[in-house]
Amino acid sequence: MRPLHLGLTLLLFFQAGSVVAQGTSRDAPPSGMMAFKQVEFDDVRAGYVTLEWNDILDEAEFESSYLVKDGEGTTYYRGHLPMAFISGLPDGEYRFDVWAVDSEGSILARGSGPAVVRVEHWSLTQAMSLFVIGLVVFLILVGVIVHGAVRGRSPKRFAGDVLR
Amino acid sequence: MNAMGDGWMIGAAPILSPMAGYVLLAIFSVLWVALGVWWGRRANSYEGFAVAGRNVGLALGTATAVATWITSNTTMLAPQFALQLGVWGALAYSTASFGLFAFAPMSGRIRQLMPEGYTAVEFVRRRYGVVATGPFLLISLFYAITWLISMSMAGGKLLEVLAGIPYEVGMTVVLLVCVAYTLFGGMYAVIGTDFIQSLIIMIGLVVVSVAVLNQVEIADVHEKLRADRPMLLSIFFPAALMAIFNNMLFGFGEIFHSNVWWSRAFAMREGVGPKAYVLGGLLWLPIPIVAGFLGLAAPALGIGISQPDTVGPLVAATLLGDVGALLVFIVIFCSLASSIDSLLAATSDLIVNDIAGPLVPGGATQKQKRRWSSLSIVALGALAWAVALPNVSDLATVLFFAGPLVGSCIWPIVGGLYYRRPGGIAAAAAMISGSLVGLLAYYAIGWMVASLVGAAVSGVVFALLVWWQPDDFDFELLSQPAPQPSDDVRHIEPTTAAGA
Repeated sequence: MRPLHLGLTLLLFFQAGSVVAQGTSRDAPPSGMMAFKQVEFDDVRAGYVTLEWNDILDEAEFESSYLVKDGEGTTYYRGHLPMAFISGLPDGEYRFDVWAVDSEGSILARGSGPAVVRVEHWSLTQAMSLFVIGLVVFLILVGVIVHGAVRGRSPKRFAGDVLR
Repeated sequence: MNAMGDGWMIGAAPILSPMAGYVLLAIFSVLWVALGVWWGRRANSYEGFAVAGRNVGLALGTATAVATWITSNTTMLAPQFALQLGVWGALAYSTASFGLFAFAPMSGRIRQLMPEGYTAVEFVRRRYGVVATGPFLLISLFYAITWLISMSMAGGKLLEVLAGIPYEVGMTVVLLVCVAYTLFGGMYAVIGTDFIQSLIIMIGLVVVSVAVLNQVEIADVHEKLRADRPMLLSIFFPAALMAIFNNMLFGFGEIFHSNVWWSRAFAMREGVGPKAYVLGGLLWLPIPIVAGFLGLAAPALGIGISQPDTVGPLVAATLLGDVGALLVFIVIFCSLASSIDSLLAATSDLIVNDIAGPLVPGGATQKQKRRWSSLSIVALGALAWAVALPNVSDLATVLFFAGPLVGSCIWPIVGGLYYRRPGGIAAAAAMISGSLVGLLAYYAIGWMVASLVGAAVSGVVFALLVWWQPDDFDFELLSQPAPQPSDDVRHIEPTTAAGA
């Protein structure tokens, strides 16, 4: 069991690492400081990204929370966990900042710098090509199943009979 | 300076108290185990344990199809899809119901061809021979174990998000309960509990959906998405366009190859399977769309999302308060249990019939198989627990790694069921080439194309090799029962390894 367990675990680690966008990581900040773990995300192809930063809030303080905003002041996240999932971004470059705030909205701490996300979606030509291939595979598959089921239902071609 | 955004709700905090979570966990754990023991009284023989006496009717058959296909992935991944890929994402997830529709006629054919069959791997072994059995068995085991692990992880995550129960504790209890009642009752317990679970899931989802829709203005959701996350509404969202048929073919591959579905086809009375799978698909179809709406609503409601696979439960529980959290907890616990039990039972059938059984000269007795089933269920539970414990990846990533593998099984299964010409070489080559190229696509492009590429490549390879080296299979061979030694004359004890 151990080799299989180990193998599966390694596979999970391997593939989990592969789907993270290419980017620049940052060393852990000094105690009490807040900083994104990864500050640059290049070639984000599907318009979504997960920002992570070091946790500075006391678990007992449920009134405090984190805020993530872009350069235009739009709030994308408010919550207790030091991680924000942001999606639906069109092509472009985005800068996100993080704050820790109390229940009144007063700032407790601010991130040391922004995370820069560069989104460049897959080309529409490629997407449509794969869409059409999928449609063709689907239609052929349905055709084969219907053909087989109809012929298999025929009394002369019952179960073990000829089906070529 | 006030940095707080207006109208934001904190959704990341546990919604239920840990005490409420533990009480619910205890109630449903006792309920499922008790029902499993009760229904499992008839599971004395291996025939009863593995395929419920091959006498499951339409109501139970439909319920088990719905309950098994409403996994925690439906309630957790469908909202994630919507949050990642927008409206297309929710629609893409709902296309998984097409797999149930497509499997409907195939289930009748399976029952007709193999009236005494047990597993999908047995079909491949008898239809294609050893050369195709190897890759198919590996794919089946990998997929089943991956699914089992992802369900176990989902259980741990859910209990942590909703009730603050530590991941390790929640995951362990969910797995332990499912192992216990499957161990006692086999397929009788699985299908029986599926019936109750499907009713609870359907009622719960309807209540949650109506309550959420009463509190959320669709126009507000649209406006918020249009302003801040426009790609989620875009018709020309490239990744989403690529995902549509990929997800559909992933669903086809999952259902066509998995023994979870084959074992139900064997367990249903003749003529029941096609109707049950169509009804199951119709009942399942709207669920991902409703669940997906929860994902799309999160930004408009100002609910901050850290882990996308928890967005659905989080939105429902945040909006509906304690009652909503209770409902979500119950619905997802039922959907988890209904999938984990099915996987344990169906995968243990593979181990008993297709790995351990063939090793015994002359075949294993019913008594041996029954005993090995129990041992393999415990072993699978232990394996899933050990791999799920580190909580190393998110649900979508774990699940979609299996996509190209199952996608490459579609054509060998369909071709082998309906046509004489496909042979073992074509089936094996299709599975191997589709898996490898699909995995390459997974890494080069992403999960949203891996199943599609796997299915397309395996289809081309399969068609070319069938044309080049046609076989002439006699389907009558499938209807002949495999030799079964009598329990009266053979009493070979399981080996030490099997019993360990």
